Amino acid sequence: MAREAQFRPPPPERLKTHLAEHEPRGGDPWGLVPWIVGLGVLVILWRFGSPAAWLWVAPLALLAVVLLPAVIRGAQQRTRQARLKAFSEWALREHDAAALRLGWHLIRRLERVPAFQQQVIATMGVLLQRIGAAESAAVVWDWLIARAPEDAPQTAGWHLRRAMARLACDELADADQDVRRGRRNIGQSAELDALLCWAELWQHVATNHDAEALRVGARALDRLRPLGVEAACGYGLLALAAHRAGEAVPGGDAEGAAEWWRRATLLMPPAAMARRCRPLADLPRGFARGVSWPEEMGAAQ
Amino acid sequence: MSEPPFRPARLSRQIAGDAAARYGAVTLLIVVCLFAARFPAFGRGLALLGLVAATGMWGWINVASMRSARALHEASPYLAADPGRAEAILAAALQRSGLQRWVRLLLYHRLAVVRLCQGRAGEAAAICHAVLSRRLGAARHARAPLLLAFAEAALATGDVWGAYAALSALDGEEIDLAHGLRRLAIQGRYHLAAGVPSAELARARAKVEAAEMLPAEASARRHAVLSRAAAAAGATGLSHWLEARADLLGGAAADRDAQRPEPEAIAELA
Repeated sequence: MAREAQFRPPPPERLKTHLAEHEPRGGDPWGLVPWIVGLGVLVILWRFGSPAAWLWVAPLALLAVVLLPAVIRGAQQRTRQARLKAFSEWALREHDAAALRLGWHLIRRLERVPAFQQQVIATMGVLLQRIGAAESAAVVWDWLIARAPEDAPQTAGWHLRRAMARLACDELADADQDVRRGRRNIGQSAELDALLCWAELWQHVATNHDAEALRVGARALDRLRPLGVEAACGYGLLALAAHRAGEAVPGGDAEGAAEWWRRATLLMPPAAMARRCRPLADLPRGFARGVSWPEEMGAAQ
Repeated sequence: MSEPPFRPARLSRQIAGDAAARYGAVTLLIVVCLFAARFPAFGRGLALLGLVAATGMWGWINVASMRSARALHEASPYLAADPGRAEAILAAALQRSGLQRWVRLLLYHRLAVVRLCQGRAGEAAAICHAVLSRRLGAARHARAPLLLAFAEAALATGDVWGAYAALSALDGEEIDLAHGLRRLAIQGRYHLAAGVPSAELARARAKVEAAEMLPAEASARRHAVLSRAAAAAGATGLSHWLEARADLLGGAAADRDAQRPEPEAIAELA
């Protein structure tokens, strides 16, 4: 618990250095080991062995050369899978500090398995964004996008994630480019469309285009749904947009703001939304009251 | 190709046949070695020939096992999307003889999941029961998913006692997060089916937090089950709160049948 409290996310520069030091590499350092062992056995046999020893030891040495790589790779794969499983379970349970610590080490350990390393780094990006470390998250998305083919299926999602990290850092022009890139993959998957909807809402709210945000919000319930409870951030942004639009116009959309905020707080407490989505960290005065968790739920476990 | 309806006797026969082929190869190997040692007059060449034949047989059996084990991975993507195709892959793998015991048992485990996805819950329960009643050996990691599949099948057939037995047997099992979430979902439906909704409300906050880890649609179903349990237990406020969350997560309540799990969720039991 104390370690969780003391946890500080890696600063962007340190993260950038760590990623640069552990670029993905090909090759298997254990690949040569069985051949060296086999050659050693043959040399010993040639120097000291009798014909009978050749007959019985040589096939066994051959068998070892064939089996040893498989045994070593099997052991490595089991260890790797156990670590990846622990990492993804911690990430899913929102044990962010523990997951990020393990992820930091896995980046180094997985540099020879680029697909898994990429998977870990992408999850770390999501975790960093979740705890509000947007600058470090942007480093992660920069690194991933720079190394992925432009038309790879996951790249559009990374662009949208980077757009949100950049919006959180007030880099509005760069964020706009990423949102435009994300729009190219519209209709590819419901999850991607949900991310796009979230990024667009954030962009409109960050640039004070509240009417645009409310226009996007017409289909927001269906579009944001695949995000699960994180859809709350989208609803929260819509509540903020409706609230500001209502303040600008007398008799504005106060009811709309209250309804969006009710939906948002039904799914996620305001503090968790504020960590994920910076515009929701500083809500204006007189903002609608949200929904609190029912008393029957008991205390947090 | 489709797999014929399951009969426990067939599984017993197949396992006995596999063991005979494998132990036969080992016995042949030992006999050849003893023969070569006892009768050197037959010469080293004959002994080597026997050694090669026995090793070849052993290798052939292992290759059959490896190919069948590959079918486990090949069938996985189709379990929910195209159970017929998954069944064809598994049926072809099950036809091979001389399989390692754990491979055959895992193939039958996948077949049980296919049957669940096809809505043939009775047959799925029979397969799970037959596999679980054997020594799992190297397939012991599949015990928890097998128990979950059995509980799922038992609930689908209205066998509440069977579901209770399977869920109770899971108590001492080491279980990963994905299967732990499935267990909570099955347990919830069991509590409703057994008429003990108040049991479902114990540690409600932890259960809601666990439901939040699921994909949106599965999460909505889980919320709907919790909402029903709350309504049945008289916690009206909690029930409305959960129902409102379920609506936000999964769309209109009319589209959702909380008692019927979606095929993607069943496929996770593989």
